[in-house]
Amino acid sequence: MDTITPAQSLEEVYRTLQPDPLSTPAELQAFYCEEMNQVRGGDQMARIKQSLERAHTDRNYFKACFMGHSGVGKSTELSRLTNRVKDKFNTIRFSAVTSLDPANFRPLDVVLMMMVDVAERTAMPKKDGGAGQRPPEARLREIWDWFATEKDTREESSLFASTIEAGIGAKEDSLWDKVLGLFANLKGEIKYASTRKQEVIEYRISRLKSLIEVANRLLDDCNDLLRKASGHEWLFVGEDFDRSGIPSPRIEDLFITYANIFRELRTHLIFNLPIGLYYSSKAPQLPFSNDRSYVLPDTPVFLPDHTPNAKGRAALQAVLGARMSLSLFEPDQMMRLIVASGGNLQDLFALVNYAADTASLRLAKKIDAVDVKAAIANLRNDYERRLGQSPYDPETVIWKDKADRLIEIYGNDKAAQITDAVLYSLLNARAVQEFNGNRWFGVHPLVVDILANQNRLPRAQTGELLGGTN
Amino acid sequence: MEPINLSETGSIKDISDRLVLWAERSPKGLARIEFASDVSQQRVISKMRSHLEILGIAFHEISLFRQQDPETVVVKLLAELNQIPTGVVSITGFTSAFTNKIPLEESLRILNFNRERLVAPTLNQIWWMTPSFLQTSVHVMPDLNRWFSPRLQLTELVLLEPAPLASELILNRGVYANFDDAYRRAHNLLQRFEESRKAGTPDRELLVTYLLPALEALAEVGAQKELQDLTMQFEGLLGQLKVVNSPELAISLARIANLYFDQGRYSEAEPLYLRSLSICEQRLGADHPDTAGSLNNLASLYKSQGRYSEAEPLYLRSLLISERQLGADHPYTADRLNNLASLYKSQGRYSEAEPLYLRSLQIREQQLGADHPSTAGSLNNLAELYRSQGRYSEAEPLYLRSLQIREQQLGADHPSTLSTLNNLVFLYESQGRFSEAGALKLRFRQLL
Repeated sequence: MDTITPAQSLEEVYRTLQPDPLSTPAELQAFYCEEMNQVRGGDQMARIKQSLERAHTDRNYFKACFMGHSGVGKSTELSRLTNRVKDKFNTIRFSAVTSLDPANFRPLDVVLMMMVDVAERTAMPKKDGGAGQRPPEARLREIWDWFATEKDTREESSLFASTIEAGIGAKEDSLWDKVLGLFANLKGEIKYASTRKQEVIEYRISRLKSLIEVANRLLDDCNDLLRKASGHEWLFVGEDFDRSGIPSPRIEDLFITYANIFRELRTHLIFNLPIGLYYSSKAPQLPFSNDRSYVLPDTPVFLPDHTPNAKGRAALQAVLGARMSLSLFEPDQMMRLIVASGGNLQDLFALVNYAADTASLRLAKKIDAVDVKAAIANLRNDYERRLGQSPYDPETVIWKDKADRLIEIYGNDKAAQITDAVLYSLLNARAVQEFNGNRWFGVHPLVVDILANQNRLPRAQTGELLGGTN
Repeated sequence: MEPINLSETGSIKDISDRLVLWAERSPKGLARIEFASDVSQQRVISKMRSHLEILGIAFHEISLFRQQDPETVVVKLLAELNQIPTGVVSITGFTSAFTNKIPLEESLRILNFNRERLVAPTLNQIWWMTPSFLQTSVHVMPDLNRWFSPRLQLTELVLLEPAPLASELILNRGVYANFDDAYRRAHNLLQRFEESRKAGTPDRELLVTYLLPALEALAEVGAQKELQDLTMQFEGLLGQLKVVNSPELAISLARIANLYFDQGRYSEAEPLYLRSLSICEQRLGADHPDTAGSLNNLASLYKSQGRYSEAEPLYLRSLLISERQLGADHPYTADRLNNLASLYKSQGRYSEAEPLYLRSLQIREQQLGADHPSTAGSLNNLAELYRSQGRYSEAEPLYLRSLQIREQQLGADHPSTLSTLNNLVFLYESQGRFSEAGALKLRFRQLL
């Protein structure tokens, strides 16, 4: 993100309204709006921070899961958290899609990845976020020995060791050198897990208990070293486990079948889960207690009775105001876009960008009603597509059933909020939104439009459509 | 840049202007354009390219290989992207890029997982998606989809330049064209046809703006049984239009007849071909290349019905016109030679067929190139003739060359490639080379 000040002209809007999560302190400082938290069930990160600090003081481990529908700002919130706890925690963030093989990873890979990361990060200099010391020789020996019966892995690791530079010094012939070779080998193997032999998977799974024991001793050592170096502790943040396309069996294997991993590891950790799993009948088997399960909801632009939600709209206006001059909108036009976004920030940015481009192309200085209309029509096209059958829906759900459920939710029928295949599909499509973390569901304004256009929802005599974009 | 008229949102001009604006201000990004008309897409590209040239921004095009496994699509796309230093890259071919041996959603899952790698190059990438591909991708790769900014819809439909009747009738229609897209395109055009007819649009304009492009869309996917009702609907609509016997009407009639032909409904195709021929003769003249095309169509129909004696004079007349009007070395002339040779072969008149096939092959090699799929077709046909005559040693190298071209140009599992492979199996079996035939059969089965 090049510009860190609000856009003052339509030509600059694209710079400050990018869909990427805020990650640097400067971006968070410039663009993050606390107002959003007041309208979506409070500041979840403040709660997590408080619990983390208590865990730090009490010398126990904070383990939590964090969920939210796409586009609500999960990554931004996690960046904000790591930024806010950096005086006590050094964070190791890893992604299910970039660090692991998302279609084929196994629970043990997650443990190994955490071991590799924590050992390498601990060995890094203090100025780079490490402890400036390697894990003790005994621990390195234990890790090396754990793979003693895997002849192929050890041989391949030796090859790696001969070709890589040691992480904190020149290439050398030491146990650390060998373990670094092992780590490099493991990282490659984990990333391309589909090529791994089945017998290796089964053999390692049979030894999971002993691996967790080794991992725990390593975590203890690394945390001790970091505490001595800076007074900090390690915090793991596992992201993208809710990425579309990760097969459900992989997720359930990790968080349900081998949930003991999260209970037993002696470290602080926050993992991002698919929200569908959290709402499923399997939720009680998750390793995270209710008070350690955090949901980031959408920002409501309507109240349950479909009248405007002034606070929600004001919060979204504050988000826009931090990124662009609000004088770039003709009167009322900004609010029309806010409503059409359904409170989803990525949608809001897409809408404003489209409208700003339309205005720029007609050489105007401000976004007018026609620009807004075109932007809404463009995004509505995406929503229409999302209402079709998704290959990820656990079962086929016909449009009539979806439409009927949407109308029930629109009518605030509480029975319609029971999570089943239809609601799951609608939540995934973002046709139905969840607002305050207390199971307040609503229909996205663009979907309200679609239902009205199909004569499934009535308009008022004035032509007004409650809860839609009008 | 001129200001846009907002009534044109989704127009060729609107989309190209937005893309130029997007490319001009940032060196890196990901745009998604939904399109239903190849012609409109090409117009956007052409308009945008000339704008970018003025601005000094490099423009590149990547056309994805067909029928690849998803990992290969990602690797090849990344390799191509990484070779381009800067500028705008237009990426086409997503609909046919992924092998149909794996469900599309599985393939797109891989694309979604590689989001970070795909967006890493400092380039402005434009991903062109057809409606049905987009429909799947919205659900299957929402993470990648969210990174598209802008996400645009090209709605303007351009009158397709209809392929002249002079072109060869029987191509490999529909092998890779997407049925859903073609159906959706045709359906949308028919809806617009109805709206415009109610609004009083003149019949000729209705024909050339809506019906003919819709027929072209359906022709792309060929003989789908699901299209039968729609095809009949066209004939009904065409009958309602009060249009004079124009060349456009002749083309429309021929297109509907082609669809009937593809669907095996020969008796319904014949009157339409005859009327199309009659219009061409009246309006364009007995020696016009389109009249030759019409004659060729009708002859092909008769040949398929076994009415060889009726087909021959039509093929001969069609060939004569092509030679006279287009030239002895024109690719259309090669098509006519090939068709007449094929008729003679069907009748067992091998000695008459051979020189025609040889001449057709020679023209195609010279005019289209030694590696062109049509050249491969000629090689295969000549090899078939030799095999029928028991001239096995002459047939084999021709089959092998045809197979090599088809594998390279069309892909290993393309029906034409499989057809040549199958012919080669027959050849080896005829020669008693059973182990070689067995190996090819195994390969054949693996590709099916």
